Amino acid sequence: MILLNRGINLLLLFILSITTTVLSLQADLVGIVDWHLKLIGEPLLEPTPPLFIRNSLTQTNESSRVVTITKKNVLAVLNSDNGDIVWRHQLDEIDPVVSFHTYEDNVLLLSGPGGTTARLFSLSTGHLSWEKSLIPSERLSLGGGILHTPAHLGTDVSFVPLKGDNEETTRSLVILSEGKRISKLRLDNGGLLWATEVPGSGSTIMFKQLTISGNPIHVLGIQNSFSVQTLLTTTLDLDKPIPKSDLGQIPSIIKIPQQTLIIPSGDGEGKVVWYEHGRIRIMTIKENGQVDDDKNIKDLLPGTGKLYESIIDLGSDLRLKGIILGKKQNGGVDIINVNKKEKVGEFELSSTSPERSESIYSGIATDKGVILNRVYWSYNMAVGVAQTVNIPDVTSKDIITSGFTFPYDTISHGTFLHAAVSPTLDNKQLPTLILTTSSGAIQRMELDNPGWVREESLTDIKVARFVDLGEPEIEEVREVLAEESFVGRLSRHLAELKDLPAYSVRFAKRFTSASYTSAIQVTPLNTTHLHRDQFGFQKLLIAATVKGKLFAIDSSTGATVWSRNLGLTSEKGSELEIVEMFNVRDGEGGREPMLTILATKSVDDSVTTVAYYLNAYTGIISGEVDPNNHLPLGKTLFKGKSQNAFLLPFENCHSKAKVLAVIDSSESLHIFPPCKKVSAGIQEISNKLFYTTQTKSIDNVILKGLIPSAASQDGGFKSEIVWQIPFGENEITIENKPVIFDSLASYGRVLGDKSTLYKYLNPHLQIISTLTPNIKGSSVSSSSGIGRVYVIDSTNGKIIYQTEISDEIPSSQGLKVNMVENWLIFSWLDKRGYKISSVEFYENTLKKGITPSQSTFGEDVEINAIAQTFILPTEVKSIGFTTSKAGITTREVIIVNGKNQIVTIHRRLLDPRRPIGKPSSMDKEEMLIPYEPLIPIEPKKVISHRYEILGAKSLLTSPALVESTSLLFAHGLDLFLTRGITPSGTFDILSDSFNKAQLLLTLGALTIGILVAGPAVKRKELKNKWF
Amino acid sequence: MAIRLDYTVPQNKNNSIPNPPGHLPPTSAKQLTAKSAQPDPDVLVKQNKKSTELKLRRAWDLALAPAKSLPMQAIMLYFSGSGVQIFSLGMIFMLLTGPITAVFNIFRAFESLRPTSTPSTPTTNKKSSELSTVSAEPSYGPLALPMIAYVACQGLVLALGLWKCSTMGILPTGSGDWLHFETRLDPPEWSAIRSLSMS
Repeated sequence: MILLNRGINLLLLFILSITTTVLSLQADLVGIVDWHLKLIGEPLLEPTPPLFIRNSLTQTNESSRVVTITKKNVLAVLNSDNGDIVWRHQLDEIDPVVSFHTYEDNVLLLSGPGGTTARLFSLSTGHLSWEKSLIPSERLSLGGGILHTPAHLGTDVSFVPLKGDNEETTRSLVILSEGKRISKLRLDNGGLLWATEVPGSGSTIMFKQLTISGNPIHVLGIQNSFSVQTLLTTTLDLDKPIPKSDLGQIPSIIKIPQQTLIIPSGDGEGKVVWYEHGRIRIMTIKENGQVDDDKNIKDLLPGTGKLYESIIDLGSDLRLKGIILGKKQNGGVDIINVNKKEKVGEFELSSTSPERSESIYSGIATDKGVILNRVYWSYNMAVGVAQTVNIPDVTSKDIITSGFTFPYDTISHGTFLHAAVSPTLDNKQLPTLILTTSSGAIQRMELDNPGWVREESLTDIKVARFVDLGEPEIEEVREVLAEESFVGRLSRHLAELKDLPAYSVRFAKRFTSASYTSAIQVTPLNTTHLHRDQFGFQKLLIAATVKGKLFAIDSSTGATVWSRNLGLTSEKGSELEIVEMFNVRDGEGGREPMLTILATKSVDDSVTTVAYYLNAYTGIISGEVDPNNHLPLGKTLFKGKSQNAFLLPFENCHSKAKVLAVIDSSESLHIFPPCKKVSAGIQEISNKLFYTTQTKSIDNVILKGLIPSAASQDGGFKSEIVWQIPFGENEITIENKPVIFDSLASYGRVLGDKSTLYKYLNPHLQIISTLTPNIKGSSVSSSSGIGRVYVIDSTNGKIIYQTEISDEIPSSQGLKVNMVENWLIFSWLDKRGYKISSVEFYENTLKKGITPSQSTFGEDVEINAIAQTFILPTEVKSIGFTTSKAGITTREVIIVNGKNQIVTIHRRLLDPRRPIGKPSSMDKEEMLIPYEPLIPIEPKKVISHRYEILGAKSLLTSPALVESTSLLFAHGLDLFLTRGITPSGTFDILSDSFNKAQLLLTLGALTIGILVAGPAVKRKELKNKWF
Repeated sequence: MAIRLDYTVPQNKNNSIPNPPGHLPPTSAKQLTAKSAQPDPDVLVKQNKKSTELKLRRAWDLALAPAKSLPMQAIMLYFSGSGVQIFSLGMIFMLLTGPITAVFNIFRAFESLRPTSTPSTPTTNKKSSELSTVSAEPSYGPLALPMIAYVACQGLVLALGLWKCSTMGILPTGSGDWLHFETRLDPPEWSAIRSLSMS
């Protein structure tokens, strides 16, 4: 055996030495073995919704742009013609985006808690011009800014308009951050001109908006008293940070801070508009900061007896023009020009009606005027309706109204949340809309021309699963042979003869020209063609987003085969939240693979747990559908949320699908689908069936081990607690993962003297990493703490292994863990850098190994844990392992590093048995590499090569049919799938450089030679016998 | 009927140089028949004894030959190194297969050395003695000891080969060599973690 091993090793070494390029990804395979889908995330609609920018500003390109910030902390600019990303930037998690503000070719991004970081990007190129922290230097050491709720409260940006006569003055902008600090920055380099904290601002006063009206800067603030909030203002000089007057008090009662705004009137004055008791009120602030007399508080639209419900603020650009919307109590919306104190117009048929959905308003400023837009869904006509009001000049009274209807798929996209309107109208006076939908899609919409759709909900994939496809179409065995009669088989074979030419052509092709590159050029999947390629690289990837939208993705191209919405989404969010998804039936024998989806459904404060059966090929959910919205109803399992869900070792009698067990909040076990046979089966193995739940008490987290007890009603089982592990006080669970135990090739590890270290193999291991923050009560983002890793046997509750990181680790970085078979990997950041630890568990025995066949309740297995820690030059965002069909191929660790690359680290580098010092002959025999603290990141091992996979957090691997290769799917923000991971090289696939034709020709020539020479030699021999 | 060549050399009449064993003085066919008709039993016995002794001595030589080559082979093995290479492997192959084939072919190897059994005592009954000498089949009986020695020596060679194998680490002696044939039952318990870890 050793001989064989050595032989293989030698062979491998030999192959490695001649084909080093095969190991690394070849440039020509980029985009063939992998695909990368760039996403931006669902747009943030508050306070700056997606904005359409007219093409005249982007000189480089003809097409218009859409600027947006998203929930995934991304600032993105899209091409409005085709929906492609022009550029995008993702910020760190600790630096959340707040708002963006465009000005000519500049995009100013405000981010961080309290809007304390400003960055200026070029709109056309996406290059960062400058970055500036608005926190004064003496406070920098104390950490970030003050966070308000919502995050954008107390932040505002205003660009200082150019004065026509004075071109030499540097252009600048004024930023309000943290509700109190006002900074004036240069636009060209971000240099701080001045900064001040508004005097008088404190815990009860917060400033929320500023406006530049000529020279003075008017700032609007809110003062919190015991029961009411009142408005106040202050006015600063643009040139020097000195208040022009005391704080101006405005007698007002404010319920919602958002319903107040300040509008410049151009002549140095500012106008404060707010909503109070059904009225929209207005008050003027003079240039010197004086507030008008109390008597001058007026209704914006006095008389007429109109009662309003709210003010709709359409953004700072429209405020600058003095245009706001007032929503009346019947739902009707008036367009109000604040400067002229009059109603300019109104949206027709905008009052609330059962015939239409709530309207969504948006607007954009044009050169002199504004374009306002309203979209709603008409229930009667089942179309989307857009209504546009174009005010070409705000000083005049002219308005042009127009409208159009558009088809819209409410089942797959939900309702619309926002419609960004284009700043230019077409010749029919109709705009182009960019819709943001509740399902997380971004769609371009025009009259009669539904445009591109970006499915941004793919950034929120909760769980993804690979589904293996059936055999290639032509080679597929369609019938079950055992049940076929002779005549039947004969006739089937005759009927299938028509496929013979195709098969022979395919065979000949494969035999002569198949290479790695050609083999992976596969036919894209669609709903009618769902067959794998010959190497099993092509699979169906089923992804379920948090909001309950399902996507089936072709693993070889990244194209969506089908998508389906499971639950209703609206402006309030989704009523469905996906919890888990399981492969319950494979596609063997021509049947269709099935998945079970577990979700939490919240409708009107009632929370239920629902399960669905999904056909992976068609996307059809079995069971009833809602008659109103045609969404599948699924099967309601119980009320409340589930605590845990797992597959049972039983199959359903009818569907032959694996049965799911779900633990409800009262720790009862429910099975899906319900089946009496399975219930009886559970009763039979109830003392061998273990599951855990994690409960949080006041002090700490408790991990409970449970078994099912006697059957209760409706097929459920109550649970009995078998063991409990309480964690320490304030100990926070960071990660909780099961050990990966998919394919096991060897039970041990052979040492240099040919003895064996038997692996400690236990499929019940649960790996938990925790953090105990050091300082009580301090904010989580800045504190550090003690990190611990536990490996717990979930059947008997024994802690197999426990370790504590010696240095404190920052809680923002966390402690990443993962474990495969007997190999535990964890990574963290401490004061001196990024570390990665590798631990292997072996049975401490000289006899034969007994795990995993021995019961965990049998005699104790003594464990020998070999651990080693290494330094990594990069951050680790996620840890995964490669996998293979039989487990013979070396397992490699896959990490997502700090540069958003996906990198593999060789197994031998992370071997905890790497000898320290000079390796002994035994170590050499084992080919152990001497220990070095640093693990380098090899450029050759960057499997994402030039792609930057932003936000990749979850790694999902799946084996291909060839042993050497594993598939990897990474998601988080971007989607990335590669089948280019070959830890031991492509030993079972001939490389492209292999000359197959030459081999075939040589073989052919030799055969001909033998055929010719054979008879001749025989003749000669015969002749020789005569002499 | 075999053709017997007569290389009669007329010179060298004086018998100072002894004839080689089994040498029959050149005689004519006539003499031969005359001699055979009148064999001298003493001479025959003497001759037989001599040839038997000679054969035994040669048998011992043959038996001990492998042992004599051992040091040489050991030196060669030492120089071939402990790496798994084509040369050392070829040598080991020879060392392992050689003794085994030699032992299997032991009877053929000793066939020519079988002594014809000598009449125990020169009896007066010439006729019978003559008959017994003629009918006496050559037997392996007296070769038992050399043969055992031969087997033992080949065993030594084999042992040398095996020792070399073990130093090269290609003898399946450790548990690691049988690891791939080990099988285990499935774990008896089922847990939520196990169902997750298998997926």
